[in-house]
Amino acid sequence: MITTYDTPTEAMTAVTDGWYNRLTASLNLSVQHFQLLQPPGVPASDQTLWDCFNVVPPATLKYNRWYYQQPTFFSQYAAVVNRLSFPESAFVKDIGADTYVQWQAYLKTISPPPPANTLPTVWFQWAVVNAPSVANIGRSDLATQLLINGAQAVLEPYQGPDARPADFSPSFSDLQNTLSASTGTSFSFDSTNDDPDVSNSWVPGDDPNYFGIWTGSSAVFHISRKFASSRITVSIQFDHFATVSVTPGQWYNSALLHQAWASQSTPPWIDNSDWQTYFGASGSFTHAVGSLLAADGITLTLTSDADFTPSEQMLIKGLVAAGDWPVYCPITSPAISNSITTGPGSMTIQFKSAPGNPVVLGFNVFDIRSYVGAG
Amino acid sequence: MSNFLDLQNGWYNGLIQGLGQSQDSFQIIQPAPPIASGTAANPTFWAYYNNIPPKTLTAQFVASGGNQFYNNYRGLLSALVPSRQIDVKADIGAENFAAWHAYVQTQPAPSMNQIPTMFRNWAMFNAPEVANIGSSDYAAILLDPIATAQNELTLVYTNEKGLPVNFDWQLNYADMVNQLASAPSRSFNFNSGTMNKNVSTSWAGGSTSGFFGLWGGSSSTSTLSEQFASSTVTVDASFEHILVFSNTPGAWYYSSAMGLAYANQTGNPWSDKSSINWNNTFGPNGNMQYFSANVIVASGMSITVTSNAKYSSVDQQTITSSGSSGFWPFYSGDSGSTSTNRVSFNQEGNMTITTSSIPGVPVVLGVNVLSAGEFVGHSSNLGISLFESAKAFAADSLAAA
Repeated sequence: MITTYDTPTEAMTAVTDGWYNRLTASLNLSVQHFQLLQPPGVPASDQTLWDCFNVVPPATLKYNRWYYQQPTFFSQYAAVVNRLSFPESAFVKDIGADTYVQWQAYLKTISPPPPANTLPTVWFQWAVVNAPSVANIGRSDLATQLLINGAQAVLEPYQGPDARPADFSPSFSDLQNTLSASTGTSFSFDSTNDDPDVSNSWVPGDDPNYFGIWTGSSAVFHISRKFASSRITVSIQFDHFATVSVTPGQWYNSALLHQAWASQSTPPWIDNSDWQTYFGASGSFTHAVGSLLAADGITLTLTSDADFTPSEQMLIKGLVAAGDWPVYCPITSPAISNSITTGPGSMTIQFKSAPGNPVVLGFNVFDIRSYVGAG
Repeated sequence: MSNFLDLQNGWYNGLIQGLGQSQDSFQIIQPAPPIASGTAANPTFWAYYNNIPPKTLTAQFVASGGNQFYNNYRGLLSALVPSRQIDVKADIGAENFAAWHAYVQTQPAPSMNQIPTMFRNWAMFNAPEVANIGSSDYAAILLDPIATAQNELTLVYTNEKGLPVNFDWQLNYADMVNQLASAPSRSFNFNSGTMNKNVSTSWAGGSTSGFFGLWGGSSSTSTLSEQFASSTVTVDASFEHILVFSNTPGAWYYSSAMGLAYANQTGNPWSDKSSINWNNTFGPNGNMQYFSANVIVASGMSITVTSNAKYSSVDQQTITSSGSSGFWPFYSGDSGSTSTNRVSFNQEGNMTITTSSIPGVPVVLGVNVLSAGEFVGHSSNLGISLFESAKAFAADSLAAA
């Protein structure tokens, strides 16, 4: 659809929304969750893959990673968990002071001391004989303490100096394997008959596309608006593509996050205002990445009939390595290539990614309520 | 005239009937990710059971790894307390207890399971009037479903440092592949002219998220999809092998403990010290409202869909070029390079779509989703009966067992 626009970013936004609709339609993606990643992720290792989706995504269909400064998912999860406090164990009170003294005396006779996970069992064996009426409440208290402490303690090695990096599933090789077993597809886009209407999507309101024609350019640039108002066609082929769920590693506990979200006050929160800080309307932890869309072996051909001046053509060609609309993928490795040919009233861009190099094109985003399972 | 939603609903009813599934629990997965065999096959496969599904007739199951059964179950068990307190000393009398206690100390360390019988044997001579109640008390202590479940979870699924250990399910990916190879074949037909498009009684009551149009992801209200939906659509589906694969959580899961928690909205077994409660576990804000009980897998799938609408040559081109990512009713190329979609038109412009998958490669068609109440249904009965039998325990039966 070619229209005249009033605000400077509108032309780029409209054509990008049209692309969004075309992509989601062709790849079975839900407009209630999908978000484009700009620039896309081009991971080469576990760490670079995880860095790409370890993020609290902003509420936009077009997540421009240069524009939106987002905290990591891990940092927000860790901050929430560190702001939770659970009541002191009632173990001593429940079993009685006398029994506690005897139990402590017995424990001292065991050498080496029993490992943490066997404590409820050791207690139970002792208590069935020596304090049967509190044997079960005692082992329940000890087990509960282990479960609560374990959920928080599992996070510790990932924090502070010498912290372990926060890991996720998939690993880089899992993603490569899944992709190589996945189907391919091809589809095309034509701006003269696209559908820029995103009012039924999860971000129906004001949601500009910030980049213009090349990665890092502004949508406001004259050259970008000229491009966006031209007839643009894209034909794209993926050798493989897949939607893969993103699962945080061992450090993550879905019950703990749900508990924090479901209970607004103390306990479990240390401070009554904490809930708002993270989960409130302008909180820092309102969304999460549920799954990612990756493609392997991309071949994309774009044409535009924009009437670029010779100097504009030179500028576009000179910045070929920045990468161009709609994928916005900078040429950062030999696996990625971009080439531009121009003539009067015609420009052709060819973008390619070599097989075996997954490109993360977007995310399925969940609001935190759905992410923790509350529908 | 049907719209696309009617058609989808009609197909849903046809499919569950054809597959011998229940309308109360079947959920179509579309599109499903491939289960690539390799290092991550088990976790990927188990994720179908461990990820808590959203409430929709056609959930996009791959959606998220954010809400997990195992983690939530650990959280739940930290919020429960033993079913009741049993005061052995009061039941058998302080003097008897002291004498019995002194006796036990003289014996070689007994295993816990021996205690009820041991007490009974001792009491028959030393305190016969409390022999039964005492051994019954000890048995009830041993059998307490909550304390037992917590103990098991912390002992086996927690490491020496007190940190959680990875979850497992009883059956793994290889078990599923083996069973699928010997599973029966099945085929069925579907005709939109005679379909039942009422899904209001199904478990999600016709919730519509995840519906697509004619081809994957196209808007289900687009003109072409509407044209398709209002024509007579026939489906011939056959599967070389189809399997409803039930699986149960590993030893970390105690159905009786969860059954008790579900059966009691307030009070015991819920601890008043925890902010985890019935409402935020099983209620509308809860993280355990649904469970995937079975995964329905097939191999050697062959599906032919016809539509008697007249498609213009432009429409034909649009349909053909709009991607190979799948046509109604199965959108996914789920096993990846292993399934194909083909579309053709005859001279009248009528359409035939064929989808087939390579024999031997599992394709996930759906999961049986159960509500928490259904999921724990049997187990809560089990928990209560365990509890009753513990109360009514007679030492003889244990000794004989």
